[in-house]
Amino acid sequence: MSCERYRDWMTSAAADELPESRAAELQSHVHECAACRQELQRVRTLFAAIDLGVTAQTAAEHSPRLMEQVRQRIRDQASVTPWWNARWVQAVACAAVLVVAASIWTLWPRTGARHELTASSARPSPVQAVRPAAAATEKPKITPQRHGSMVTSMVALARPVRKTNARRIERQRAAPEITEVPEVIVQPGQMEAVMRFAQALNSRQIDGAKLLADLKAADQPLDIRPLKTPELADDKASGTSEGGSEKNFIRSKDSR
Amino acid sequence: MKLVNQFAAGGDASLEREFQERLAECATLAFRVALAILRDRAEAEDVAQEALLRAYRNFHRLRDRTRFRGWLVRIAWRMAMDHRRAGKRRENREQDVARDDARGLTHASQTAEEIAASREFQGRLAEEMEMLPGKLRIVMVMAGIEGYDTHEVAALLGLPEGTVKSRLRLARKRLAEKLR
Repeated sequence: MSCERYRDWMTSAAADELPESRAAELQSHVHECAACRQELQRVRTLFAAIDLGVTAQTAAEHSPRLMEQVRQRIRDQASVTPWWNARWVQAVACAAVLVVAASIWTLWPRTGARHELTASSARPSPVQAVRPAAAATEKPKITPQRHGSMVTSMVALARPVRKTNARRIERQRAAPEITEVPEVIVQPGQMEAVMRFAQALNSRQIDGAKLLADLKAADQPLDIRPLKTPELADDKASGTSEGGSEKNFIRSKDSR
Repeated sequence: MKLVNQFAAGGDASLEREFQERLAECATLAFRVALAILRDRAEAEDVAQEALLRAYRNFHRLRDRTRFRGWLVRIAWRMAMDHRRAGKRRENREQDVARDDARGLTHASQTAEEIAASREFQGRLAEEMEMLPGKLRIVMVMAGIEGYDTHEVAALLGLPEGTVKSRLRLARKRLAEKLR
């Protein structure tokens, strides 16, 4: 067998990776072939030289000033307070946060005016008649932000409504007695009459309290009492009082 | 910086003491790792210094303090590789010169010590080490540093010992094939 084949095995043999059968074959060949024996020895020497070379490359010691420099830099870093730890920076940051929070609180859009529970608000508010056209102009308009995407515009439309409803429900729970301007559904053609009625109420031509009392009285349930059956005239005339009214009633029917 | 502030305020003296102890113990390790990559003492010292400072800044984040050495090795390794890449162009010129000189590295009559001591062999070995994949190279370097055995290298790098052995064998074989 050619020596070239065995030389291919030599690196694996020096690295202890050659299978046992091949290792035995290589050993028997090396005993016979002086050139291959020399080559195998050279490869093994090379492996040892690689290990020694790698160790030699890293075997150096650092200079003593390395430790001094590291400790000095640690001390320098410890003595320098970072700018974000300065007290004035922290104070400014807190103030900025407060300003932003207050701005958001005051400028956040709301659908209705916030009602404070004061003495004036406890009084019944006067009826305000507002024309639908005028009322429509006072309502805040929600305009979708167009960013070129239908999804974003739909989200922009949907979000304020959800928040508005949530806020209104929350407000009603918190202060159910809040007096708001009543909204009245007016049938078509009755708007002018309602307007005149409201003006009359505001100008006290109509006493609202009395009107309300009358309405309440009109809403009282009927007093239902047991029905009293009147005695029939012919029963009185016959003079039979012992038999009871029912009996008399039947008798009177029979008499008919 | 948190640790720095703690140290400055004297709030965690034990942490500082612990780091200082490890600093004295591991500075040589960081230097040698950097030297294996850079092959220049001055540059290796600079990188080791930066690696130790980075370790100092982040020491409070290290949960398992027993892994400090492996952690520091990885920091030094990464920083040395970055430093190496930065000076790659200059290094390529040096390698070209070394490649021209590296003819007939080994002779049958030479011993392993003689071969390893030769400048040509060292240059060629360093060049071939750079060509190795990182996972083979770091195992080879760690095995060379202070003569760590595979068990210690495995503990240091957080790898199974069998993996370290196979990688070490593969790295040596590749180097031998290149240098043969």
